[in-house]
Amino acid sequence: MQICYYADGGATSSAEPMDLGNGTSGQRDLNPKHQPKDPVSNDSTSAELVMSQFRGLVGSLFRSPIASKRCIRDWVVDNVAVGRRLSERVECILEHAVLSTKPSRLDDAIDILDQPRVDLTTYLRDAQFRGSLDRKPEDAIYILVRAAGRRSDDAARFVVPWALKSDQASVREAAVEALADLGTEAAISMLRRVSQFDDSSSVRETAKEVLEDIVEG
Amino acid sequence: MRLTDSNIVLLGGFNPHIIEPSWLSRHDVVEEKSDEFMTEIQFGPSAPQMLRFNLDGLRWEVTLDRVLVGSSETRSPAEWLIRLLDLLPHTPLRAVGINFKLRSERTEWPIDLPTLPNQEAIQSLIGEVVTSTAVTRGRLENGTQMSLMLNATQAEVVLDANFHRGVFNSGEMSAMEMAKQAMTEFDGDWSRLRDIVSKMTGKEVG
Repeated sequence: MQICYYADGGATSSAEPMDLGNGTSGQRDLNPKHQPKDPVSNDSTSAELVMSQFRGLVGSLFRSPIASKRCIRDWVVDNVAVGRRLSERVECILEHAVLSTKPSRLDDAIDILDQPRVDLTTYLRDAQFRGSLDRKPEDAIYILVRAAGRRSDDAARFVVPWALKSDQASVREAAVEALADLGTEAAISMLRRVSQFDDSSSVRETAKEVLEDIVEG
Repeated sequence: MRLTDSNIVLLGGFNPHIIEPSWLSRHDVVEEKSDEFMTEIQFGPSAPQMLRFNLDGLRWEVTLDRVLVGSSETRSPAEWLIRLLDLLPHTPLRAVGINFKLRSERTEWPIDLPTLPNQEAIQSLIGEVVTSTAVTRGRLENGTQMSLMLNATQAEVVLDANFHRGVFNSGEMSAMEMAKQAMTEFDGDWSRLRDIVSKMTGKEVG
């Protein structure tokens, strides 16, 4: 099988600068507190600058034409997968998607967060623990729920059941679509329940439609 | 140029309180059975949590985010690290680095050293040049990132080569399996580096 590694910066180098004995060089300080905080960067750039560059990259993704979007998306995914401050990076993507005026903004964000290399499970688990999902804009919830539904790991476990209990019908509808993406027996069973018992006729209708689609294969 | 150091670095999450000499010996990661190892742990609030020791003729350095195993020869430490990972299968891994350090006397270095543009013109402003460095990074087809750093002083030239492979969990392979696979590239990377040096300098690595 052909393996493809991803290049995220030479953080595994054991090279040391040539020591001139002046002791004022900031390099190769082994104290973790003094290390560059983000392995994406191998130089002494501050973590804030790294995050600033990441924000710029995400911004350019949402602004870029379709032709160049794929390449930038791969960079963003690499950055999220390897970089520290996972929550901050995911929040940055959500923020850009919410504020963007491009029609493809939600799909662009979902296309990043549904990638296996992006640890959405950890992000969602932390968000649940902190109770921060409740405070997110509707579009951000939609992105998270749909991205979780497309993943093969257990990210959905941390957001879909929560979304199904939401007061907002649109959030429950997103959960219905995520369940359809999951397509497991448990998901179908939940869809059946939603199609019969949800308070909103619109959500019940959506659930019925996706169930029909699943049955028709 | 002659090899002075080679090693493999695992980047991930490690516990220096676990990966220590007696534990490695007890679990047959290393053959050396002596209880007396030369270890170096730095204490103090600002000290790094680092454990450094020698076992089976290899140099070990363990910190919270990396394990380095190497020697002054072209001897792959992959089998030791694979045994270690087999004992700690849930270790989160991010990348594998294979590193080589080559050294040459400045007088033996057959080519010009890297300089800044118009360095002669700025000579009076920067004074005597003490060190000169050139860094080149490239990316191979399989995603391996190669970094070559040439450091020169008036006395010597040192070339550090880093073959960096990011690993991750995918549907086809776990990060652990990917890391083990990456470590088997040690000999191939060494061969690749020899070719590079040979083409750069017109001389074989000694």
